[in-house]
Amino acid sequence: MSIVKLISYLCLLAVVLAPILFYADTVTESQMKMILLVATIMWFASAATWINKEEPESEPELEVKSPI
Amino acid sequence: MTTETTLAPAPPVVQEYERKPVPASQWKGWKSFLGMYAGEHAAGTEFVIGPLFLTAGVSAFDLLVGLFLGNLMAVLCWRYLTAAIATDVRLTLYYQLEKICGRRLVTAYNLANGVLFCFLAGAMITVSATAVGIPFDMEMPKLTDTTPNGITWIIVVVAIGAVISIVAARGYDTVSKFANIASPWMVLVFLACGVVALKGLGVASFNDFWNIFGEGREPFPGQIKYTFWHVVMWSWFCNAAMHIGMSDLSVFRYAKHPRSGWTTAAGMYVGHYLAWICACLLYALYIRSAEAQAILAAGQAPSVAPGPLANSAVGITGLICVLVAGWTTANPTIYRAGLAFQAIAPRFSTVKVTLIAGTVATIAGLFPAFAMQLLDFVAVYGFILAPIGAIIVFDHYFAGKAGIIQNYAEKAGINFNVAVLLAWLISMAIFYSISFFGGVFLSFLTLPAWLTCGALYLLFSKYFQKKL
Repeated sequence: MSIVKLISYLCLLAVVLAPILFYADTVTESQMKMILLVATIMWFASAATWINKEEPESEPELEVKSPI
Repeated sequence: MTTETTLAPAPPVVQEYERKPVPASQWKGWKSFLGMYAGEHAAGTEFVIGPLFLTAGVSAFDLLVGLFLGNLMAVLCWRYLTAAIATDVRLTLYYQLEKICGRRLVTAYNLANGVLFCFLAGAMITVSATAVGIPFDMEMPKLTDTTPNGITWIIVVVAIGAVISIVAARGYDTVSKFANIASPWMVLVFLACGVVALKGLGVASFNDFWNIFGEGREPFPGQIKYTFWHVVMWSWFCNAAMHIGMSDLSVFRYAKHPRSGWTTAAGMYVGHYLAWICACLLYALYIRSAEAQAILAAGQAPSVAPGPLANSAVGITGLICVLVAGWTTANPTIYRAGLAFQAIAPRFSTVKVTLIAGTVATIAGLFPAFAMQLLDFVAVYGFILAPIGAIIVFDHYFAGKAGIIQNYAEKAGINFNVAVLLAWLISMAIFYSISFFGGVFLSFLTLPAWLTCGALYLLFSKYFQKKL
């Protein structure tokens, strides 16, 4: 696993952990929101480098993605 | 042709076996479907659907057990109908339908699909607008609002609609890639919202959690009361177009085994259970606020505005999530609606038809009714499209027993199978009338309409089919 991928997964972990730590009164609300924002920015920055390279694209006409 | 190629270059595409069965070399294992379904059903609509359950006065048992059962029924439909037929025929819905009912009737189905998709995309633009409007101090639409509530609302919706439509027309592929990136993060932000709401609601045990909904309450003004069976049937059939409506034949034709149908459980229990309940908790927290209590005391319904709800729970991340969820759901929906319209007017370029679909969606988005009455609209969506799936199921399993010719349109070389149209229209007319005039909840009638459509198809085919 590359370092970028590892960072991506850590960011997702942070998105899960921040609210749990807030629930447990370990971090404050503003800290939790800041962790979420930083993890979000880093997730998009890091995941963009690998996530679409692993899946072949499919033809949108045939993709009937559910809107619900 | 040249214009279309220039303006909307087709994304690089793997061979899709549009008009032939998917060969064994291209079949995929269940893991390929697991990730796809887990991400697909965490869409912008979930931010509205969860709270709307609360406005319908559901109890804890109705919500938790009803959703569990309804989603289970949906998964069983995917597994034993959609995936079973898909791995038998290995064709797209459109080609399978064309073989049975002819190309022109597929166009009619496409049109119905396209129009409904435009309105669903409109609801997503509404959802995104509730996030974008916050910095502009925009007044959020009320639950009972049907028309635009002010000039700021109109400007925000038109701006979002224009951006989404232009991007869908010119950069579908980019947004599709962006949606792939956003998908796992979005699911976790839903979860984060739920955890934060639990803290706000003072939940320390399962008992506290259960008591948030308790025995239910009177529905909010303008909403109907949902019982256990309303929740079961609605959650079962909200994706009726995809399972009993057979849209997901296009997906499962790649499955090695129909057992891959079980992977839809990931979508149902992540998107349609966890995400709905988390969104519901956000709204439960909001309606305990002094502002919401004052609105309720005045006999009005507090607004269901995902933007402010998510913002209050998880801050800017929540706003980004609402915007991204609405956008990434509206983008393929508008694109798909555009392609449906293109089937009717093939001389129009993909860019033009996508912009037309985007314009219709934006106009729909101006009217908050589509988002605020999303439960009703989604029920209509499933009700209209599902019966077409019955044609495929009954043709597949019962054509021989009923003594009719399977895939009749293909064998007879016809473009329009009147037996299919009559079965579809008559079944819809009968059961929609029962709902409209008898006041019966529409999702209760989706299954009867589906069965009737299939039975009528066999009956009419027996009468109309000529010996070949």
